[in-house]
Amino acid sequence: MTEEQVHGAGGAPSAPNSELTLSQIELIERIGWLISLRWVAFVGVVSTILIVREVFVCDLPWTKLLIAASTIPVYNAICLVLWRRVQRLHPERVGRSSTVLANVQISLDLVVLGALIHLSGGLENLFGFYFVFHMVIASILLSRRAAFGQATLAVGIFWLIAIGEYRGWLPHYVSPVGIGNPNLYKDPIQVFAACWVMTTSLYISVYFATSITARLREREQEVMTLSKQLQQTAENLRTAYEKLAETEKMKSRYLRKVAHELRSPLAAIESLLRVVAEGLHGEVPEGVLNTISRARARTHELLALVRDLLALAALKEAPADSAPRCTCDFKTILEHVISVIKPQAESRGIHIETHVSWDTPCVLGNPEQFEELLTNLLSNAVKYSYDGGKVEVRLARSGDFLRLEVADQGIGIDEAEQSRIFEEFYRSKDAREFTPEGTGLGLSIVKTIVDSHGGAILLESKKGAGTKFTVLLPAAETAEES
Amino acid sequence: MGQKAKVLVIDDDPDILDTTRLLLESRGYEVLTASGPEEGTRCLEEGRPDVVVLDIMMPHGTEGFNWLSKLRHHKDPQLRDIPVIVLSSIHEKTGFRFHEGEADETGEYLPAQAFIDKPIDPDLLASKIEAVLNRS
Repeated sequence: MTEEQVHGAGGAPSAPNSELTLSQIELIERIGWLISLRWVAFVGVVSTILIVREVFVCDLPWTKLLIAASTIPVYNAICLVLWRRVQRLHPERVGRSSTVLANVQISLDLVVLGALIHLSGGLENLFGFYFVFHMVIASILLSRRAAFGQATLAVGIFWLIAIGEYRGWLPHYVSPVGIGNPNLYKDPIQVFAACWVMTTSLYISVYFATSITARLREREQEVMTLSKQLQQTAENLRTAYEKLAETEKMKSRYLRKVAHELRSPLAAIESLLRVVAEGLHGEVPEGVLNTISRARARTHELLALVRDLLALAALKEAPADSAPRCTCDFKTILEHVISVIKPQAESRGIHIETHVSWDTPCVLGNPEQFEELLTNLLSNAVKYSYDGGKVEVRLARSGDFLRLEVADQGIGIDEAEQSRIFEEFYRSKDAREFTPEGTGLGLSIVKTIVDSHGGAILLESKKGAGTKFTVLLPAAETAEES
Repeated sequence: MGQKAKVLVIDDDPDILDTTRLLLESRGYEVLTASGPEEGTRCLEEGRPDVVVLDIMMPHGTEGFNWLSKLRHHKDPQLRDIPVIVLSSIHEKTGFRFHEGEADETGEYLPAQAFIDKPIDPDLLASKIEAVLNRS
């Protein structure tokens, strides 16, 4: 950004507020401050005049001084009225008007300051250095060019006083608090030296102040640009996230549709094979029967995969809170799931032991999903148990949560693989070697259900020694409160 | 066991229809088949089965639901109260929940007496048929 753009000098075009430059925005904010400050300055000037008149025995044109001072509230009031009028009636012009108004105010301040200095000692008056304060204010509020313009005006006024008094065009008044030499204004060398010091002081002040201000503005602009970029990035991220979520939903919808379409022919194939296997079309030779039984086993694998895909897609597609929820008695669901899994466990001599604590809380949620969760955890425990092993299921209260533990003494999960077992389609190496049966989706389904109910799932496992899953689900009364 | 029941199977998939018929017949049931809702109604009224096995999702969507709903308003009270076993678990897709028995407090109730998932396990289907017939 160029200097002109940053400062928007006197010639800045009128623009709607949204297109104002940073310095214009600051100037608009500072106009009011400048006007308020001038009321204080007026009180200060008048008080000083009155105090000096009372304290020091000296001959100064008190009336002229007070008249000069009294111009301050007059033009300040005019500025205030004009500023309010612009703000109210022409808000589109505030940018340009604030620049003009600030320039005029500072110029008037310099003229009044010059008059006051002349009437109270001219070059001898130490208040001459008050010109510097005005230069600092000009440098902060105006463009660099305008600030140097104000410095030139101040220098001109100072030189005018000095030369005017030296040449006798203007009367000289002796300052009661001057620098000591009441005849300074008559010595050309001293006059030139004083003017030279004031001139360089004012220009150097403006130079430093505008340089620092420009640098600060640049930084401010950078921060503003960065902040805008950050906002834009956040907005982009949000949009990207929404798109991603939508894509994920579309993926799930697509997956579910495909899985659903696969399911019907697979079910038909299974039934067709079953008809042949049952000999409903005549006796089947043993070799054919064996082949058909293998084909049916593979069909069952596919059907299990399709079933898990459908379940996972349905879970992911539906918002967490859209599924019907009711207060569920986990104990009843557990009993039902065990009754389904027990025959399979008993066929391998695996004993399922349940411990249900009297204080087991109910859980607010979807009973079908809880059944799915328990079925997956229990069938996994049985599947990966050694023949004759034991599976323990515990239900209890743990603070505001229902605590479900499903522990087996089976093959366990290698520590290196534990972090991945909730990933979709992931099956540990040992699991794949132990049994080819399994889709790798069961634990993803479990995790999705637990997450959608605001719960947590923990895994403890040791290779060769067994696995324990602990599920925590908010108790119904807690979930209802939240 | 005495005379086996007469079962009407309604499904748009001819393979499912044929195999279900064969599997049920091999278990002693008399089976009527229909490949769509209209044929289903005709078979129902002409054949007067003891139980209906109904596929809920047919090519044009949820025709099974409509068929079931119409059945429950049939002018013939005997047909109106016929037990129905719904085929396929499609509650995920339709949002309906299946209940074996009475409607629950949510009111989401499919007026069927049982449901069975595809692929059909004929022994399980037979036990469900017996269960709903005994209940009625």
